[in-house]
Parts: sequence; structure tokens; C-alpha cells
Amino acid sequence: MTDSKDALINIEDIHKVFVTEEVETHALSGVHLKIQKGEYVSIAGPSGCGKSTLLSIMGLLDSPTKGDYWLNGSPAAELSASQRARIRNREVGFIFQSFNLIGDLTVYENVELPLTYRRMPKAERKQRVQTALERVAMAHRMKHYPSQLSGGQQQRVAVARALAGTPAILLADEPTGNLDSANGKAVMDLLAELHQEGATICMVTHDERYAHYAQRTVYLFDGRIVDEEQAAKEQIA
Amino acid sequence: MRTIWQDMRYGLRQLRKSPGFTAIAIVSLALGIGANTAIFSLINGVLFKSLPVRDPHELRVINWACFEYSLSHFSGATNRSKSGQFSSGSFPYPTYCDFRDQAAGFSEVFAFSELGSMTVVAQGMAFTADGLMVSGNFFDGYGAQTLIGRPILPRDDRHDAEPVAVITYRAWERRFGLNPNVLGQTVILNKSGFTVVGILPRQYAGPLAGDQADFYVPMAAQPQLKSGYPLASRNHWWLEIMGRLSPEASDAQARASLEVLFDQTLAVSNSKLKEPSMLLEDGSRGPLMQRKWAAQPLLILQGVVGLVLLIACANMAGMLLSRGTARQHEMTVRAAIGAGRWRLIRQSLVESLVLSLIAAACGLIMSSWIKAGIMNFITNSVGDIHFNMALDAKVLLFTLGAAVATTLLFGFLPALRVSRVNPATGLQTARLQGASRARLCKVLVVTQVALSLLLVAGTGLLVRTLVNLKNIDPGFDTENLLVFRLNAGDAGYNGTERIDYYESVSRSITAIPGVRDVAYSSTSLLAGRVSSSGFSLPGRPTNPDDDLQANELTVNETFFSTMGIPMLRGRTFAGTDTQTSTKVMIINDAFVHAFFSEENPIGHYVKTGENEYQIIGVCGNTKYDSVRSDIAPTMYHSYRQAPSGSVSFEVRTVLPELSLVPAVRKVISSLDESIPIQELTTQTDLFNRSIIMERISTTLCGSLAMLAVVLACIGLYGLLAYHVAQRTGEIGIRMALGARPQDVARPILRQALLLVAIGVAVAMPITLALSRAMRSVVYGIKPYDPLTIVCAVILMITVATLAAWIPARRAAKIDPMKALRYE
Repeated sequence: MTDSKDALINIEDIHKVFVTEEVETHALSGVHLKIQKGEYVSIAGPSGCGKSTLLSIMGLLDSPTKGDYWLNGSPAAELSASQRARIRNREVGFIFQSFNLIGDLTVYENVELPLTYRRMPKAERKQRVQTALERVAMAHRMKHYPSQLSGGQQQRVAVARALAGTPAILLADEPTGNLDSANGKAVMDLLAELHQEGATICMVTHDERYAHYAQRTVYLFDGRIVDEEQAAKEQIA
Repeated sequence: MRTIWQDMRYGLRQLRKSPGFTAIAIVSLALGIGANTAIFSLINGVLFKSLPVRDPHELRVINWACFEYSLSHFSGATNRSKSGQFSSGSFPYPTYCDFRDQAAGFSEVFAFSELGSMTVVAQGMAFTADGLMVSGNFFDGYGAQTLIGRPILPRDDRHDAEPVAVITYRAWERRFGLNPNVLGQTVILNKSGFTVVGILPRQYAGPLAGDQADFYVPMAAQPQLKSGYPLASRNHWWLEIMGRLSPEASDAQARASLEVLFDQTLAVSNSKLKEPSMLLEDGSRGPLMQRKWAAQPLLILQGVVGLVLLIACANMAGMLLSRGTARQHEMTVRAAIGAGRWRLIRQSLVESLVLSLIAAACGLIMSSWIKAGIMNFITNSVGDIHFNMALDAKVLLFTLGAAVATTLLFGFLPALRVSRVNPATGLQTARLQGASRARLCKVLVVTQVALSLLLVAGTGLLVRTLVNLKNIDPGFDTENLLVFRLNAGDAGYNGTERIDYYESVSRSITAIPGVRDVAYSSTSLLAGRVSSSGFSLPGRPTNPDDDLQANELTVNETFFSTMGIPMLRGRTFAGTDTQTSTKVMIINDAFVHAFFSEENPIGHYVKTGENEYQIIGVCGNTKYDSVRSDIAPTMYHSYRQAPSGSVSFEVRTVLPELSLVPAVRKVISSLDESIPIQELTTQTDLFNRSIIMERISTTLCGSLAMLAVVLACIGLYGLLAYHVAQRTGEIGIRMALGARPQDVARPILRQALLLVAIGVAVAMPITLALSRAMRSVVYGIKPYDPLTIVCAVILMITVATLAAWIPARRAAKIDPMKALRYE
């Protein structure tokens, strides 16, 4: 239990079964995973191995069929929808492959959105949005709409949105999947910088080039963790 | 043509694919079209339908017109045009004879006059029925045949001819059980015997609006049935005249000929008409004046149902716009493979037309139910009226027109939108277009809310008016009061005999267990009849220019105690107030306030006609002819001093009043079985009938307003449900970022309330303006009654919130994982 409290993410024997009509799909089968504060972990594996499902459970978007999950020391496997929403809002920052910015909102409003759900005073929100956008070098575009930005810029705004709430962990689901290599590298560099500054990051990727940005890579296959390795550069160091 | 057929088949397939959308669309449009068709059918029957007679286009209604008139014995309606010209269709009998014998341009000129309600004894049963007195050439001129037997002929219209009658199919069915042996039987009409010589066919309709007459008798029966209107008099105006124009004659010729003859009539009568002229009106639908009057409330109703159809169209347009977004991809593909814009518009319009035509067919069926419901309601409320409401080409054309109009109204805009696709950018521009569609949908919802509020507020005013009228204290106790009419005068009783007869009826009914009091009066209160008279106050200073008028009612001694009308001063009538004693009168409090101020009127005299009456009492105020009319000064005469032919009995009971009807019938039949009970009802029913127009309009407008609100809510629900579906991905993102279920639901409800608020804001000035237009309709409230308007707004907001709640709840329950996958 001491471990459970120390680790930011503590997953024990998580199972996830999707039942559609008469077919049962075992997306996760007894996954154990711990992520410490300040760690940068990537989850890799082939398509359909359960990477995104695991990330969704970690981000409280989904709940496990079986198993235990502690987030920041608190049990998180069986919470109400409202409780999960509250924790998601305060503890988790999401970065999606398809950016998932809201087209009708400006860059500023998109970044401000998670803060509005906290009932945060306007002045504080403004200050946080400003800081987050400056951090990703997008402050000059705050009045623009997502459709007026390039893919790389949209993903930087999505990173700013994830950062604005100062979450305990950033969960990134294939953050470079919709970007060209230059923009992809830029986003990965940004995440690396954030990690350097102390952010805890868990990233799902199937791109070998980017998996090594993380300190540790967890390999998933058919819903099980089959291997873990420390980042090459750390080992070399 | 082949491609249109293809589009229609495709449209049908699309409708089959979305049964929910199709059902809602067809039901809402069918209700709108059905209600419109039903009301139009009624208007068509009342106003437009030709009489079912030979060559109706040849018929003319003959009217006179003038700018001022002075007629000594006039019975009938006059109409005043905007130019100040009066017109009427009421003539003396000799004028009719002049027209019939001398007018050029007509193949026949015929006349008729309503007899109103008659006491009929046939097949051993007494009942009441309406009659029409007609000239001997009526059936020939009018162009109607009998089903069996023969019509009334000129030879029947002589003073020495045997009295004959022709009956309608209705009367034959209802009173004689379709027995063909009725021909040759004698029926007693107001104590005179008439031999039935013919039966009119089922589809026959008389010339007058509503056609309530069941017995037709010749003019020669005037001395027996309409004694106050002597045939020989040129000063009694009472007869309606129609003519059948000769095929070779023109209206102008005929009118010129009539004017010469009419001038001759005026020259030998004491009637005065300023600048008289003759008017020939199209007679194919009978005299129109009455029909126009009957059609007036229907025309207002047509406006209201038109509004409902407009709401249904706005609703449909919104639904189609939403659906158009879902079909954006399909349209892009069609454009990509070569469909031009017009082709896309046509396809969309054809699909709308398919929907409208199905809805029109369902609406046609619904209209017959709605029509039957309305007619049933009206007949139950105001009695038997007969109009030819059968389906005809005009109604079918109207329904088809409504279908095409609705197609254009609700289909054109979505068709235009859906056709605006760019195959090159296709799906990329979908979001921008979606936003613009949403704006248009919002405009449509706002329109629906505004129109619905208009109807709800209008209905609210009617409801409050009805409640106010229902809560009016008429000045007497209406509960447990059985009311009916007896006519001993028609049965041949003279003045003293009538008093004795009515007194014996009163005594016999009083003896029935369960009866507390019995009274009788010249007419029932709140029965819609009013009698008034000019009077003077001998010995009191009055302005000679003052035209003193008061209502009058003749009552027996027990009237005030039976009705529960308090005596405020003096005494009530007594058995000693007879024709040989001092003529006495009781006046109401309103009379005292109007003509005596604070002075005690007891002992003063009132002169009406040649008689002076001493005021012996003052009673409380009561409503007289209707609940709605103001309380007017009223004079009560003693029945013993002025015995009228027929009276209304008022029986106060301790048991439910209708439970005593068999006993009352038995008593009356035992006293004289030739005198039928007429107009048997309760005082509560008379009270309710007195506000029947308010009840009818409130019920109909209320139903339509409810329909409008339901349609507006369907529109609002559809819009929000569509938005939720469109925004599933966005909602998923919001939830991923920490939005709680209530954070998701609240903006949707807020959006609904905002739309309703805009709708209310738009509707408010129009509602206030229309409320003012309802000034003559409302009672006991101001037309812009704030309470009604606030209640209408609250109702609208509540119902809209409920409609918005379902999609909002659905949004709150969205699984963020699924939503993100959807995105």
C-alpha cells in the first residue's frame, strides 16, 4: 500500500472486456503499471493491443472491468461520473492525436475551457491561459480559431490546454499521429521540455522514433505488458 | 417525368429509412392540413357551396337598398355598407305579387318566410319543429323536386285551397320513421291541420343559412301561422324574395324592371325609403347576408388554423434542415457525379412533396373527424343546424393547394441549403454550413415559439373571459332549476283560460315530491330573448329628447321567491293583482338608480303604451337575456294583468332537476296532451348556453393553441436533439477535460431558454397589439391582461424546458469514450 500511495499512477491487475452482442473482446488482461511523479513513460505496441484503452482508464475516461487503480494515492476505479469528471479536470491533462479542439471556440477559449469547469475566477483563468499559451509559443494566436491554425499549431494549443490546469499527469494519445515529421518533432521536443521542467507524462505511441523520448517504454501486446525498457539515452548515460 | 418519378420513389425510400422522422413529420403536417381542411370545409359549406337545385347560377336574391328608411312593420335583417347604404331582403307580400306577375327578365319569382318554432302534432305525438312558408311557385322557381309525392303548387296557395304541407327527409326520418304512408296524413301545425303531400329528398337544402325548416306550407296558411303579417298589407315587410333569371335576360334589365315596380309599392304605402334602389345578388348560395354572419367566426378560426399550419411548416423546415446536414455527404457525392444544383433542389423538393401529399391524405381523413367533432360540439351547443359539408372538388383542391403550399413553405429553404454543396471541398466545409443551418433552425424555432405564444396568450384571454363569465353572479340562484316552455296560446286558450291553465300546471307540479317552488314568466332568464319597451314617468321632470327604454318581463306571484331574487323594497305581486285591479309593476335596482336616484320609487307611476303602472316593489338586479350583457333597468309586470300566449316555467327542486322530468311530463300531459313541453332544460344549461360562443371559441382556440405548443416543442426538441447528435464529439472533449454531466446539460437548457426568450421578445409586441384587437371579445379583464400574458410566457417556458430536458439529459449521459471515438 505504501507503493500505491507513492506512485502517481498505480494500476494493479487491470482487465477490460468489451462486450458487443455475443462477442467478448479482452482489451486488457491483467495489466500492472506504476508511474512515479516526474516520470516520462511511453506505451508502445501494435494497433489494437490496448494502448489507448489503458490510457483511457488512466485518464478516467473509462473504467476497468476488473482490477485496482490509484491515481495520486486515491482509489479511482469505482467513482461516480461527477467524481471522475472532477478528478479528470484537476489531475489529468489530455493531449489527443486529433487535437480535439472545439472549432467554435477561439484558441484562448479552448485553453480556458477546463478552467471554467473549476469555477476559477476569471482573472486567474486569464493569467493561466496566458502562461500556458506563452509556454507553447502560441500566445500571439489566442484570438484565432482552430481552423485558422496548422496541425502543429493546433497540437501546441492542445498541449497548452492540457497544461493550463497544472495537472498531475499529462496523458498523450499518439500526439504526433496527425502531424508531419517536422511538426511531430516539435511537439515531442515540447513534451520533452515539459518533462525537464518536472511534468509527469504518459504517452501512447506506435512510432519507434518518439517512444525513445520517454524515460521508460512499456510494450503492450494483446492486452498484456510484455516488456519494459529504460530509455536508451538514460541507459547510455 | 421519369426522373421525377425516380425522385419520388427515392423520396419514399428515404422516408421508410427514417420512420421516426417520417411519423413526426406526417402527424404534425397532417394535423395542420387536416385542421385547415376541416375549417375550410365548414366555410365552404356555409359560404361557397351552391344550393343543390336545378341551374343554381340562374338564381337571384332580390334586395332593396336606400340611405335612410322608416318602415312601420319590419321584420328581417338590414345591412349597412361602408358608404352608409342600408340594404335588406324583406318585402311586403303585395310587392312580391307585383314582382312575380310583372317583373321582366325572370322565369319565376318566388317568396318565403321563416315560421320559426311551431307546435306540431303528428302520429299522436306533440313536438316542436321549424317551418318555412313559401309561395305556390317556390319549388318550381327554386328548382327542387320532391322524393315522393308532389311539391306545393300555385293551386295550393289560394285561401280556399286545402291546407297542405311538404316535409323534409329529416322530418320524415325522425318523426315518421321513413313511413311512406305519411303522404295524405294530417299533421297539426299550431292547431291547424295540413295534409302532407310530399317529401323532399335527403340532399335537399333550403335557401336559408343553417336550413332548420322541416315543414313547408303555402303562403295561404298565413292567417293560421303568421297572423301578424297580413298578406294584403303593403306596410308589413317580412317576406324574402328570390327569382330565377331567364337565360336570355340580363341582371340590369331585371333590376330596372324591379325598380319601377318597387317605386309603385312605395308610392302606395306609408313606408319611407331615401334614394331607394334594387339589388340583385347571386342566389346560387341563397341569401348571403345570413351566411356571411354564420361564416364570420369560421373565418377567424381559419386564420388561427393557418397560423398552426405555419408553425407546422416552420417545424418541418427545421427538421429538414437538420436532416440535410446528415445527408450532406450524399449530396456531395451526387454533385460530384454530375448532379446540377437545380437537380439537387428538385430532388429535395420532390421528397418534401411526397411527405406533404401523404400528410394531405392523412389530413383529409383527420379533417372529417375534426369537422364532425366541431359540428357535434356546435350542434350540442346551439341546436340543429344544417349546412352541406360534404366533400367536394373545392375542398379537395384546397387540400391539394395546402399540400403544395406547405411543400414550398417548409421544403424550399432546406432544398436550397442542401443543394449548396461543393464537391471539391465537400466534407471540409460541412462544419461551416452546419453552423449556418443551425442559425436558420434557431430562427425557425424562435418563429414557432413566437407564433405559439400568440395563440397561447390569445387563448389565455379567452379562458379568463370564460372563467369571468362563469363566475358572474346572475342575481338569482341557477342551481336545481328546471326550465321549460308551454304555449297555451297556440293551443287556443284565451287570456283567462291561459291563467287558469298555467295556474293548474303550477299547482300540479308543486305537488310532485322533490319540487320546492314553481314560477312562470313570459321568458326564461338567460334564454337569449329580451323584450324592451319605451316608457315615461308621469309627474316627473324628464327631458323630452330622452328616449326612456327598459327591459320588461311578465312574471307570476311566485317568480321572485322561486328564482331567489331578493325584494329590496315594497311587495311582490299577489293573486289580487288582476286585470280589473290597479296595474302594478315591480322594478329592479338598476331602474331605481337610473331614474329615481336616491328617491323611494314605491307608489310612483310608470307609463308604457296606454297603461300606467304603479310601482309596488323594487327587486335585486339580475342578468336578463345573457350572462354577458350589462344589467339594464327592468320592469316586471304581473302575469295576471298581461297574460301572454306562451310562458316559461321555472321549477325549483330539492332533487337533481332532470330526475323530475318524467313526473313533470306526466302532469302536463294529463292536463292537456295537445300542449307539448318545449325547450326543456335547466337554468344551469341556459347559463352555459348564454356563454356558448365563448365556450366554442375558447375550446377550439385552446385545442389549436395546444397543438401549436406541441408542434413548437417538437421543433425545439428536434433542434436540440440534432445539436446534441452533431456535438457528440465536442461533448466528449468537454467531458474529457472535466465537464460534469450538469456542465454539459446546462448549456443545452440555456440555449433552449434563450431561444424561447427571443421568441417571447419577438411575440410580445405582436401579442399586445393583437390583444387590443380582442377588446370586444374579452370580459372582466383588460385586453393586455398582464397575468394572462405572464402565465402564457411561463407555460411556454415550462413546456419548452421539458422539451429541452430530454436532449439535455441525453447529452449528460454521453459516454466520453464513445463520444471521442465518434469524433
